[in-house]
Amino acid sequence: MIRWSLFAIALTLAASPALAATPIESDYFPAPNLNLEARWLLPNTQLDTDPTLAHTAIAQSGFTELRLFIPPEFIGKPIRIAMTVPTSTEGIRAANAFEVEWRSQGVYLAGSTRPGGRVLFFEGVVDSSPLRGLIDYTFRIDARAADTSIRFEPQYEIE
Amino acid sequence: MSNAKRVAAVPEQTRQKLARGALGLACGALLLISSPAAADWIKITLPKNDSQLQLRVALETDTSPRGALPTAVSRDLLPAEIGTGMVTGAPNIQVEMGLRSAKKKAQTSTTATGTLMVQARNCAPEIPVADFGWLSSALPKGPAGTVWISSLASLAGAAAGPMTVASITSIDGAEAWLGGLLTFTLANTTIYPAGTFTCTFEFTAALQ
Repeated sequence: MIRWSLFAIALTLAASPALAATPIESDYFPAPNLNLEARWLLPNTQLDTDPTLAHTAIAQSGFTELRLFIPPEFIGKPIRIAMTVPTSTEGIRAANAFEVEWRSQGVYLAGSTRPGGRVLFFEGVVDSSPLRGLIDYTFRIDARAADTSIRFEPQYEIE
Repeated sequence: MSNAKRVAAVPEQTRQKLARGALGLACGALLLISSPAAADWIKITLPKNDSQLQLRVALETDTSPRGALPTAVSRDLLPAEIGTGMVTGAPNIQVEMGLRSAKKKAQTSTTATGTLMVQARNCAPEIPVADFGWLSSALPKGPAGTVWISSLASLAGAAAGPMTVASITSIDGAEAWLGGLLTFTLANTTIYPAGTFTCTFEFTAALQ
């Protein structure tokens, strides 16, 4: 009897949806990592220019292919993929100093988020791995709370 | 998930030991699930962020001055005018100094100071440098917030070396401007000898 109930508890914990999120690998194609140069939103500012606008820098990636590697057990089944931007994004000192917005050509969902944010990125059935789609990122950075170099490294997981 | 499947396939005798072990494994699996998978990244570099200073000296009539250009101001004194008091030269000249500090970065504020200086050079000894001065008025197209150069009765301080005219400060990348439309003056309180005499006044701008 004792053996049986311990076994049942272990099964229940494993099946709980919040624990079932599976992190998946990702890369950009053809270049595995991207290097972007930001530009000032307002290169010339006056005494009365809003300080937030005066210190906003914009970086755009242009459309680039993002590949998500789907484990075999999820192929052919309806899945949802969430994208998370870590709260501690390297080079950013305040969550509201960084915003990423993206457009999509293909299967991924467009959206925007900030450090600490988690958004639905894909919903549907994947026939083969890797899942591919084109993404065009626009980053808005408040230089007052940012270092010279920022590292954007989102995490993807299947819910 | 996959751990539970493996436990179900094990023979009956060892099920008790493994059931306790399964709880431990399920807890261990929680930790594994929360660690991130390998991911590629995007590196973003902020734009260059230096202080900038510019100086423009030009004739009043120059509508698009570029840089500090040599400008000539002159005055012919008629015999009847000599020694009768201040006279002005022509044309007027426009002087403008613009300053922008680096933008604030990583929560550290930035400041830059720009100083406009003037120095008398190669002046004919017949007319003392102290007899020169200028009247200053607002530039018709000065940017908003321009600090105006003050009128100066005597340029005596510029005789021996660069003399500070004025300083302005820029904070966190906001533009600051200093300028004036200058009318050069001659005191004309003594009897000058006849002849043509020149004195060069050189404007320079320094950034700190």
